[in-house]
Amino acid sequence: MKCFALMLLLSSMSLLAQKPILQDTGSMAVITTAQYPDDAYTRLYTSFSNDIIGTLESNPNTQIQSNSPGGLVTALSNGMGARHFAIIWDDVNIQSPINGTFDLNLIPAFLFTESLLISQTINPSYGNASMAGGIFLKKDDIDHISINHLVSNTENHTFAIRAKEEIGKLNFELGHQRNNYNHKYAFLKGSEKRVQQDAQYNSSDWIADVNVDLHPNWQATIKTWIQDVRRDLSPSKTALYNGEYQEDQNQRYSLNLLGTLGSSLVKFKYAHFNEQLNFFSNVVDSRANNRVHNYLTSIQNIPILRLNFGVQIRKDAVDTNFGIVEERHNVGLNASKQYQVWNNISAQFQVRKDWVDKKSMPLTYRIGFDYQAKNALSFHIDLSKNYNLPTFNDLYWPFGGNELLLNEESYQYNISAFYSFKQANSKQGVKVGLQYQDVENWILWRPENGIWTPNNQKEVQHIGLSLEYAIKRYLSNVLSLGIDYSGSISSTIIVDSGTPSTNKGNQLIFIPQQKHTLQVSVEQDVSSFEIHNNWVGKRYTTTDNLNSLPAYYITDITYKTQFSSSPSIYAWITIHNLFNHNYEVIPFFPTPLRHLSFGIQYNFI
Amino acid sequence: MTLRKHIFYLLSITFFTACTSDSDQNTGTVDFSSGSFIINEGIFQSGTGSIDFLDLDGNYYPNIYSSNNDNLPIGNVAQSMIIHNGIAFIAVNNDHKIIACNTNGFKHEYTLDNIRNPRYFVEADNDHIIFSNWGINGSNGSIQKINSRTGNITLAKNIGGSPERLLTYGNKLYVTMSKGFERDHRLLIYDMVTFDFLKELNVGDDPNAIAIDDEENIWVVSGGHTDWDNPENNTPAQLSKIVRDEVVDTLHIDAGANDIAINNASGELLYLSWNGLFSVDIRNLGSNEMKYPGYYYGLKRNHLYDEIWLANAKDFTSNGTVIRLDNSYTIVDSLATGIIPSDFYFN
Repeated sequence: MKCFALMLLLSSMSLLAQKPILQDTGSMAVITTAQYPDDAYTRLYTSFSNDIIGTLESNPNTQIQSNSPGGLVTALSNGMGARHFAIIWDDVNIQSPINGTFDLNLIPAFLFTESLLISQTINPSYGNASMAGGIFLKKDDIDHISINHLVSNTENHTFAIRAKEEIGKLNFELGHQRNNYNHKYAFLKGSEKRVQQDAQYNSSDWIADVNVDLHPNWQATIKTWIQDVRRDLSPSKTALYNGEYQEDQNQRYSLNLLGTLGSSLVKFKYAHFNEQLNFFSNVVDSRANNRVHNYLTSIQNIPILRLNFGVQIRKDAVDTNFGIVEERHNVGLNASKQYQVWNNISAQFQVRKDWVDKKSMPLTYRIGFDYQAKNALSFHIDLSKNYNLPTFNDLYWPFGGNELLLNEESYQYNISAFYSFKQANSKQGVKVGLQYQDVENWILWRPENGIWTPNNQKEVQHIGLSLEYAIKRYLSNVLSLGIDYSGSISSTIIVDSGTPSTNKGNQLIFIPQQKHTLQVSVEQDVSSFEIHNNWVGKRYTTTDNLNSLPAYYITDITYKTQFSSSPSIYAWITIHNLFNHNYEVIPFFPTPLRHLSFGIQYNFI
Repeated sequence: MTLRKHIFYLLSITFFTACTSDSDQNTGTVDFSSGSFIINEGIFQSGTGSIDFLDLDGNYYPNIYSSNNDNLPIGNVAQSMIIHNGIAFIAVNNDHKIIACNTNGFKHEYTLDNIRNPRYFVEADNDHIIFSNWGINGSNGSIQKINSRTGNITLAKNIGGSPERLLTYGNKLYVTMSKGFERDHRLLIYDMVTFDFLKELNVGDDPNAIAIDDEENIWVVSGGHTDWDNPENNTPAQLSKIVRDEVVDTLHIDAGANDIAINNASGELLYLSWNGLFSVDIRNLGSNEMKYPGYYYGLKRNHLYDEIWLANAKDFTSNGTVIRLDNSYTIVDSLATGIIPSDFYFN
């Protein structure tokens, strides 16, 4: 019943993502798609948008931080920073240890078609840089060949192809996505309408997965992700383009050996990343390389104990042309257990201990309880302790790095209630969630004696209340109406900066206190029509909370239809920013007025 | 309609027109030719500069450019300004332009575009001002002359490096060559009319401020050099005294020194350092003394009030304040400003 209702909440990713994670055994190596029931998945690029970002914007607990299309995009989950939000590829966090971010533009959406969002801590499983949750990059299973082609009237073109083949015991999948974006969108500068000229974005992504059945109980997997992204970083409306240009060249490989020993599932992994980030302008030449070696072993369902256990050994080696040449060595142990306390109460425990450069890190843990009150009503409560390391830039940035920084530590509490019910011709679900997080030693960059430097803020608090509601009503055998609403009210404030400050108690900048999303969809046979509305409240732009950006409201509409079933051919058209609103996410950075995109997908069996 | 009615309507119209006119005068055009201007940089990249104004009657007008120009932003970032022949010129660094406004209402007159990284102005003669700029890559700067009556650039000379503050004395133009994006230690001297190069002086790393006292001694504050990789390469901040185009005396001062103001009456030279406002006795160069603690982002003597004005940019992401000190370094008043106050212009 619960799974059935969950399916309703297609836009409620926190819910959909949360349940699988809460039921997860906790070992980083065994959090795989195989752990989740099929109807618990949420594809982060629903609504036929070509990126994950659009769907993340619908999540009540997630604020997308971006200046203009093509620029850096990060997710602020539950009022936390980008540095607290993990991006998990093949069980390894690929967030940059140099600057503590991962640009969501760099996710090729058509190659990771069933990514999951987790909007609460995964720190007790994944360690550093994950206490606000994260995204698990995953893809769906294709029959043979899947092709996507997307164009827009802003001169953006996307082409993606995935192909799968089986030869004996070998199973291959090859995928390629190419984005060539001119981003020639219209925007307003004052009352003057302009067309963006400095936002070219070109990317090429290749993925290759090979699975080999070595033995009836053992399988080897090799995964590869090669990425090359080159782009202009467009200026704000108050500045002139000065040659800002960025290159991201990343190679990621992983080798997995997965098998069973008795009733236990065993996994061995080695992953290697070579990640290069270059930034140039007429006055800057910045190059940073990070090489990651990651070893991981996990055993799920250890006999007798019914325990899951994992070991991770990770080395990051950073080499930059701005003076940071450093290494970080991390050894982590984690364990988890799930058991039925009573007929309708289940509990989950996770614990993790890390040693970073031989220094002991705080023990992190999560304890959660689920109570199934009735068939249609359930409650969840959990608490966790988490930590976060300073980034290499925080510690060693040549013009202000602070080697005395302390680790961030937090306690997080979540309470939620979920109710779903079904009538003859409709299904409904509602979820209310309350989250509280208290972070000690929050790392914040601010000027000190004229030099920007990071310092620990003694205490930062976040409290958030979210509401999600979904209904699907069947009007006939082929016609249905769906309404999805999600909204949140939250506050993230510096309670104690540790120094005299007039900004104490103020809301952190750029984090809205209110956010609401409403989606209405009509499906008839093979066609559907969706109206998606996103309302983001006022965001303060200065720490004294005297300046702010006004709330904005964006509506997108999409029509989708299926032309053929074999091969299946889908086509869709989206009008973005239907009412042509002029808005800003970051002050003075242009955002597109109304524009169109058109996509087509072929699936060959 | 009778003639009497016609006259009545005519008088009525005249009356209401007169009232409207009076109303416009009361709420309308402000004279911005004389007073104290505060130049606020605005947040780098995601902000806009702004100008606040305190008139001679004590009326305070925040954000005068946007409020008098249909809420148009100045651009990113406002660096400095000067008024010449009834035109206020504003250097907008990261938007690579110079904006010209009239002082009667601060209405936008014209914009000089594609001026790469404009920095500071100085008056050259009755018809011209000179400005410094860092060039497209921040280290191929130039000095350029604008006819302030026509808005035309009449002379430009590429001098390389990162020319910063300017001073004119006699027929000479003195240019401090700040570190910008590279290390520099020079004070360059040019013919003010022709921009012919005359002389180069070594005044210590990062010369960033220049002033002249009433005995016609020129003073340069240099911030020194900090090598973040190898502290052995560090050089101290320095105050240089220049007489007849020769460095005749120097004093090592506090690291990060910048900005300059001279009180000729007391013989004190003021500069800013990382932890406060310092003074040096220019008649007996030998030691310095902290006069007012704290980190400040701008300093000038306001001759209109005989005060010292300090710009407090706070955390650089919120509105700032100006602290007004009397000559005994006691706070007289303070003003709320826009974001990142950095420079002043008093006219």
